[in-house]
Amino acid sequence: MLFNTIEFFLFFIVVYLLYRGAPWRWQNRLLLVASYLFYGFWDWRFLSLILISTMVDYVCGLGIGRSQSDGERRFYLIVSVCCNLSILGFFKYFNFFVDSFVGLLGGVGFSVHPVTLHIILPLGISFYTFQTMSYTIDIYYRRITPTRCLADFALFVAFFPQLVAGPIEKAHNLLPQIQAPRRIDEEDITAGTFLIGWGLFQKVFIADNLAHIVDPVFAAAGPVNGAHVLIAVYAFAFQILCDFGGYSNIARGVARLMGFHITVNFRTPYFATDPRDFWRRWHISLSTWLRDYLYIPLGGNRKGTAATYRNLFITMLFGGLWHGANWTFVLWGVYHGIILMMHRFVQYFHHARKNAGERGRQILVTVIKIGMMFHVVCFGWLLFRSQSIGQVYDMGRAMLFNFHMTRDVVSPAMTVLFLTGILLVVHLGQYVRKDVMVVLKWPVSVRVLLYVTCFYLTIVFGETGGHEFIYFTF
Amino acid sequence: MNSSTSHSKRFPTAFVAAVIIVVILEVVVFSGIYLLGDVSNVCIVHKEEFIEEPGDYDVAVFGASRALAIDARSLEGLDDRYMTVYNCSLPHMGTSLEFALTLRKYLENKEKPDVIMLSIPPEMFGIADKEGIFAGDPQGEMGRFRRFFSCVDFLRFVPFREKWRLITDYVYTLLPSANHAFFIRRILPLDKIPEWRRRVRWAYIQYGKNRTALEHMIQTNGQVIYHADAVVSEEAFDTGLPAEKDDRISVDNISRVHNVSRFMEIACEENIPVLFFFMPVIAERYKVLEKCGFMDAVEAKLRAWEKEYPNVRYCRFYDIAYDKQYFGDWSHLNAAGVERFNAEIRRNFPRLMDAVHHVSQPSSRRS
Repeated sequence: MLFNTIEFFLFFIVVYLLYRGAPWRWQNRLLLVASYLFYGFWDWRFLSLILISTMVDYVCGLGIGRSQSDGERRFYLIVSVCCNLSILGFFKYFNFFVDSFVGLLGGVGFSVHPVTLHIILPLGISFYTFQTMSYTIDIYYRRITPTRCLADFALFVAFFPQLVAGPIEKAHNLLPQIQAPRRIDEEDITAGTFLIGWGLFQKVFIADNLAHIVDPVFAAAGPVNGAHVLIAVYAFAFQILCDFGGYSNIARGVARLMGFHITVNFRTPYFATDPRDFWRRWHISLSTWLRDYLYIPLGGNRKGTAATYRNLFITMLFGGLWHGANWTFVLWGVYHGIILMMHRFVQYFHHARKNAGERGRQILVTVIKIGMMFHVVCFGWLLFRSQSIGQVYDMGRAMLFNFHMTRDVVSPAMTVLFLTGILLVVHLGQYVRKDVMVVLKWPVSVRVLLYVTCFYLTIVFGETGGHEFIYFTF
Repeated sequence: MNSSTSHSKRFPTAFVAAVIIVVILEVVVFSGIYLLGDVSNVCIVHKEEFIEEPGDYDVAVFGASRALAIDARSLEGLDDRYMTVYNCSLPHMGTSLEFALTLRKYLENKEKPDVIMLSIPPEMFGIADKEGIFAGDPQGEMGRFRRFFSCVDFLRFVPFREKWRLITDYVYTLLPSANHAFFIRRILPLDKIPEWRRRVRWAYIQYGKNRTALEHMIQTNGQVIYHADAVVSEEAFDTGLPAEKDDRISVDNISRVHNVSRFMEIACEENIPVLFFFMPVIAERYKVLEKCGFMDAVEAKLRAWEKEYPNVRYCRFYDIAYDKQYFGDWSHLNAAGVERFNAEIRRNFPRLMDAVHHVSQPSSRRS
């Protein structure tokens, strides 16, 4: 059941009406049943994986909380982490590692014919696995106490608005909201409605239409014009932002209507001025998860310069691998690891004085930095979107040696501008005011114009087929 | 970045204002957007409005796009018994099922006609009926269908197992903007933005043509002439008319035109005489159909229907093989063809009405 379908709309209307009429404890039970139905709508068989993760982490959480000795606490943590990573590893990475290993052996002259398993990737497995792992790790580090209510914990794992594509919620944020009665006020209704509408606009109008520019270029069999590749990479940058950002906004909006405040996942990421700034704005729930549960436990920046670089690299490598079982994602993670390391290296020698110079110059410098960072990120998207390392090479080559500004480049370029124009205006407003809900503070006339324009762009030009979200495959 | 500050006091005002503007735009602007499409869509929307209004016509003409050539107004008064005639033929209707549904809708809203004239091309007998509704090209057929039949019609006509899909796929088309978005997207395609200015000018011209076509349709009780002076091109001739054998049509399918039978059944249940005749066919195509025995098989089928349904009469009152100079494309008549064909109907109209007037009208179908 996709957020951008009538099925979900009807499902949510029914759930919401029942939810508003039920007392708090029943609200939680209702949401748990609704969440399982929501997930089971795709493939009920994979509900068993969610139930296994839920049970393992519930028991391990209680075990860690009850244990007095560090050894016993560590034992329960290892059981939890191993179970979760085993499930994730098997379903997501088994074939990838087997194929890579076979390829490696083939490279040195050994011919191996392994058993091939046709493993289906369960929807959202990377998201809920990381979410439920955060629970036991937080208990281990004594950030939270374990919950005794299995139903509440099960709802934390399976909460339907963010179950299949995040944001990845940490237990200390979502669980307390489940365990206490929610209050839904006028602000929640207005903000929730806006987020759902804005998310649908991003997904249905922008992302799905940009796919028509991106997909043919990356599916082309023969040589392509580098100018088309460049346009496709720009288009993909906004497609993935609006696809994933749109999903996150709808998830936040749906949750907000029910009184839940879940993590803001994107804060105008293409207005980042450096790599570190980018990761504070892009897929925030994943980057903070990696920071809190990988980078810091590895030592963070506390164990010297070399260890810091190593930790950055390892964290981003895993971040890349989290996205999917393909060497292009690994390469993408490595790329971001390297640019973070380079940025840190440059920062070490060059401490820019803040607020230096006149305002006009500051703005100019910021604009230049944003432009440069956007292109650095776009190169990363080329790695991310390509289907193989070979395609990365071909695309890069096309941009360098087969670049022709022909007439047929103008049309897709104008389409990208048309599709992203309103988004850029809204993001600029959000960036300048440092407020992701800035639209709700704009004058009434501007908001009316925005709502009506977005509505008709979505209705008339939107892709109504209920296209899947890109991050569902991660 | 702050995301939780108080900000909502003015939101309902903007939201309510936006809803009001959307409602006004839907009613005033988007409900008429079909006039930017091609003439077929103008015809579909106009005839939907016509069929949903109450009314009383002595003769109702049904058929596919080729039958739109019939000038119903010119037939009025040729026979004192049948003073009012309306052409309910529809273009772009993909399956013969749609004829049956159109007749049913007509009978629900209007008085029973004294006579029905049904004209479908012979080739339609050679194409197997699709088992389910929208079985062939769901998107395309649904697009045409929903511009003619309302959502309520869908829920009544469509088999139970198809209902949920219809609700989920097409409920949003209740909005005129969504229902007619196709026309806007065709004028302003996202992949051709540099051409938008030129296309808007074209749409303006098309709008004028459609207004004229609409007025003509009103004046002639439903006639649409697809081609003025154009004559079918050699290229269209080649692609539309295989010289020897047309694999798209098959004699084997003639016994499977269940949905035309449904049309006959409805007419029979309502005791309405049905006069069946063929629209003209390009002579070259007719030769192909005749050579492979297809025309004989179709005529045999029609004779069998005459026995099965006592209210049905098949009339072959003119030579249906026309020279290609009377066609604007490989199936539709041009202005000269329309003139010739209507002259033939006018000349034979009293005789045709006599043929069906004497048809016995039993209350049930013969076994």
